[in-house]
Amino acid sequence: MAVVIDAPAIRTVGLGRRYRGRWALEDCTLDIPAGRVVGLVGPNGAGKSTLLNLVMGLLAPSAGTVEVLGDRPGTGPRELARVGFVAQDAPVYAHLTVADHLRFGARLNPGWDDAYARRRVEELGLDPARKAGRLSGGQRAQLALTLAVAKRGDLLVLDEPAASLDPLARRELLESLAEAVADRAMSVVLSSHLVSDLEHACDHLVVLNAGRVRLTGDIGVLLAEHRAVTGNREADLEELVLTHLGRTTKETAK
Amino acid sequence: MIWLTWRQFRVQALAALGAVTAVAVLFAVSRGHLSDLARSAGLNGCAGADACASARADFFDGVQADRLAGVLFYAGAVLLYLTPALLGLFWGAPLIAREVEAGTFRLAWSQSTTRRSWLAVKLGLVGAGSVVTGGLLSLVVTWWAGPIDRAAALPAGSRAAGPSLPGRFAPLLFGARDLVPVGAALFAFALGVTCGLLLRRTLPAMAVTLLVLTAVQVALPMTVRPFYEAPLRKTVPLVASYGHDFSMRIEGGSVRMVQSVDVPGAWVISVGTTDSAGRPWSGPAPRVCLAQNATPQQCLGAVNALRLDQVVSYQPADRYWTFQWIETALYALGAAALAGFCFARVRALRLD
Repeated sequence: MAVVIDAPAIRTVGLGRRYRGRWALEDCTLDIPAGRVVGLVGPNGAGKSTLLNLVMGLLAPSAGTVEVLGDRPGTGPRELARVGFVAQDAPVYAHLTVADHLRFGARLNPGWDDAYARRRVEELGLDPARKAGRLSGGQRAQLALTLAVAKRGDLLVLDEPAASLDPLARRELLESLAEAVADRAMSVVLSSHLVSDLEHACDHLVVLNAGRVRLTGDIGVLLAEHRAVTGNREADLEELVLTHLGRTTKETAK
Repeated sequence: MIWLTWRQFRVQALAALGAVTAVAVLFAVSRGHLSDLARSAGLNGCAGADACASARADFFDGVQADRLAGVLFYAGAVLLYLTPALLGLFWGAPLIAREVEAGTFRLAWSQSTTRRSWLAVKLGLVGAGSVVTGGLLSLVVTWWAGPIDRAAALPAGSRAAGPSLPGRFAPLLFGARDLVPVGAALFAFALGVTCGLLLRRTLPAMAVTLLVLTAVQVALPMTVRPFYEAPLRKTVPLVASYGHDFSMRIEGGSVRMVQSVDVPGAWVISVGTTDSAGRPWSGPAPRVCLAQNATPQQCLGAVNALRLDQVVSYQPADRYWTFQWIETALYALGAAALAGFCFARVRALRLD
């Protein structure tokens, strides 16, 4: 069992996924230790969703391998129970109420933390009798996050959870996420096309562009290296990411 | 999973229950009159071919006079052919396709339940709902049509030319009685799920489901059903005569003659003419039949002089239940094969 606990949150080797002849993700090799909050950043269409769906076992790889917490993802109930997921656009059942969603989580997940889920719904001021289809985008994202956290897995995966939210809802959601992470030791992977979303929440960075990994590592270490190389002592995360995206764009152009 | 399936399915389940209840009430209310007709015609417990033929004719006269009975008779058949289609379209096709369209499969399939368990519970419960719906409707319609089906299976005797309705072994009605609608409902549901899985969009899946189901329901009675057991043959001398039970058509060199056959309760598959040596015969017509100045009697006499036989190929009435079981089993096997395919495919479902 110790091996499983110590296993990296995500390890991919040469992972690739092709859609109709085009590689959405190519030759992706990552080794993300457990216990980190990982920011996955890149422009739209960079392959972020593809990578996360591969991590969830919702997609099968076209090349290479992916291991999540030491197992092939999505193979059985045990593997599924260890990973919580908020998919892009936070899908929920429009005709089911908020309370129905909590029951849904409770019925389908053996590790379900009902007390947490109820407390969150109350704190968020969500009416349990309201149909999920009538929630605002921010409330829907919060509900989806509540479901994913209350599952009490060891890894939480969020695919652009803040993408379609207004700035206030976006901040509230990221605060909820930070609280959930502080509560309990778990690994988190969070994707966004906005570096500002990741700045405060994350301690590990993966930059993806045009289906390839451009940069990966501890944010503190990466920043220190970047400042040393460029001589810009003020350089922040945004500049770091943009530098790597820009350089790769130029390289591709050649 | 059972809770989720019920929660997502309960509106449809209650709607189906309501529809079945409405149909049951409608048919139950009008059944009394049908029973009265059967009683006054002496249909129940008639003895001897003549008495039964007479009771049959009286009963069908009564049914014809009552417009509603005739309408309900065919409406029941239409309903039982429509039900599997509706189940396939509205319960089967959206089962997976709608989750894919709405993106909720990402929610459903990232809980601690594998896709296969998710599918197993969904197929099991909604499939059971389809079986119950098809079964209840078939029960109601079959029960209602009991007197008519009984009368149609009696010998027609000398009053064969009077009004009547097709028997339950007839191709049109066979699939709308007893067990077959249950099998068809299950098959249609599984077909809908499979189309939804393959096409991943609800509307195209519904269209393809309807198309394939209709093709199966048309092809089965025409190509497969006649051969569940080798048809029996009955050869009777062809006696050309004036009357309702004989017809003759001469077209160029060929002649087609049909003498009405009375094989009570049977499904008559084909009727043919053979010469005295047993070879199929289709003409030429005796010359006198083509002559301008000959009387019809002369023509009939010339035909009879050929000593032709009429060969009837049929499935006898006592095979009805064997055929019901075989066809239901075929549908069930088809449904099982489709469900197996869905299990194999759901793990690798393309989700881009």
